[in-house]
Amino acid sequence: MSKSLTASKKIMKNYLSELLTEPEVDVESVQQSVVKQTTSRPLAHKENQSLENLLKTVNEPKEAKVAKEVPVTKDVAKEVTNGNSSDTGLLPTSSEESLTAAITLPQKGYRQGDFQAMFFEVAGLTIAVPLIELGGIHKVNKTSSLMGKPDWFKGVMLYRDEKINVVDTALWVMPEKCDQALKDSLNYQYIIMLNDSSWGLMAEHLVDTVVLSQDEVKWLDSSEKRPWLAGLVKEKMCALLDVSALIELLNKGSDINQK
Amino acid sequence: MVVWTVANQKGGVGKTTTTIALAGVLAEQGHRVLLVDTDPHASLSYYFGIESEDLDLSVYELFTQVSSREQILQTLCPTQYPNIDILPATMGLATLDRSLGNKGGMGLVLKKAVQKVAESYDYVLMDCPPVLGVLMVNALAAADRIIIPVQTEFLALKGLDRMIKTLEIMQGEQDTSFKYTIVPTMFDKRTKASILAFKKLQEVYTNKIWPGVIPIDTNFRNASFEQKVPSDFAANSRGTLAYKSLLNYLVKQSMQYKEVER
Repeated sequence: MSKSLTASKKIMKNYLSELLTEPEVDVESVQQSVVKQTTSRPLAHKENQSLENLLKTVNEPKEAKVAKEVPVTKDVAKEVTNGNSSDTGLLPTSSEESLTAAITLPQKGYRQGDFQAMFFEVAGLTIAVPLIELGGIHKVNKTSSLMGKPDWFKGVMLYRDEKINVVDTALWVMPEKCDQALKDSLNYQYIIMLNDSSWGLMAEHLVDTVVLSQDEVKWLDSSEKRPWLAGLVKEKMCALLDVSALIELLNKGSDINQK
Repeated sequence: MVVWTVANQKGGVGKTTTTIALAGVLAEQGHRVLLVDTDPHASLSYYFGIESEDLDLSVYELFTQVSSREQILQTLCPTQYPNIDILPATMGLATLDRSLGNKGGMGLVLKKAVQKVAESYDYVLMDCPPVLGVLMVNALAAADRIIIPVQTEFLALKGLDRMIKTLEIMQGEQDTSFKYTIVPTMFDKRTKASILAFKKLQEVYTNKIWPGVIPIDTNFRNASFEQKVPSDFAANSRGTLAYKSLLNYLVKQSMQYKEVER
């Protein structure tokens, strides 16, 4: 048996052993605290890696690609192909943005091998978020608005004693397009939690989860103009979020234009 | 209650179709069937017209909160077939591997959950995602028998090899050995590739393979369009007849094992 196969088997064994062995602490208490625990774990910690990622490190052969075709809204596709997307600030104006700076940045978990991303829709716009940086999905509930916060700050939503800072995604992503008609038409149903933070993006629809290869994304590492944009999913022509950069912007109270 | 898990790490091999077709025949025979959708794509749930993203409770909640028998029963969705209920999936399940990571004992959540409703069902059929993670491990750990559909083509054979290796490793972690049956699917007698792949399967997995085949049959697609189980949509189609034959085989196999265990 080759070394890589032995290593793969060992990782699998450990993983399965963990899952299938009753812990001293009751599993049910783990279940109750799943949401809380994810918030306290360090970003991209080894333990957070899925089995698939672990297997990739031991040269597991690549398998399934896109599990299901993800529909892209016509408007977005048209904007992209016409090159008229700059007014939304979603797409890069130059493909050469700070490529060299990427070398100095810490490598993100999803920048190696295949990775899973979830696509969601807001106001006809499809946005992708790497699954490894997705903290969870909640149904939209009542939010309490706070005084003195930016327009895009929808308010605070309580979820099992946890306070979620809810972002009106359409207002954050395309403030200049958000007229009253668009605002009225929005039917937010979900909150997409950003990594371990207390920030959540509102979404109208969850589209799909898809396995992406590195080649399927046009990477825009360390874009100073759009730090929140990790890259562009080529086939779907939609933005892939850089979640940690986005959290930083939200913490600063900055909108998409970093104002 | 008997639990059958339909699994393969390769996608598009007929897992959901197999789950639905077997459930349909079992229900027709008067058995009470519970379907468990563990795939975040929720194809099984959508098949029965369940818009799972609109539901308040799903399989996801079984993992994130303590569920009593009553709560599990509340999570169940009825289908248009009185004997078939479903525990629906939601896309949120895709986040479980990240949030649960490899926490101890989390591979046994589904097993415990279905045990709580054992009195209400004769058969539980679990449909797996094509990804080895906490959901598939749960479905495998809960199974009395694992049904592995394999498309009769050479690429699928590689995927099967990987699935069997997973089972072997898992077996080492569990007290009992896994009983599994390989089911050749999408067999097209007109193509040489199908015939050769089937022969290869028989050669390599002699004792583990169902001797029949599930043929390609457009009735499967048409049945899904009508949101009907194949046995209801086209009772005498070759696809339905093949699944009836498979079910007889699986039931016989289960009975044989029971005899041996006695």
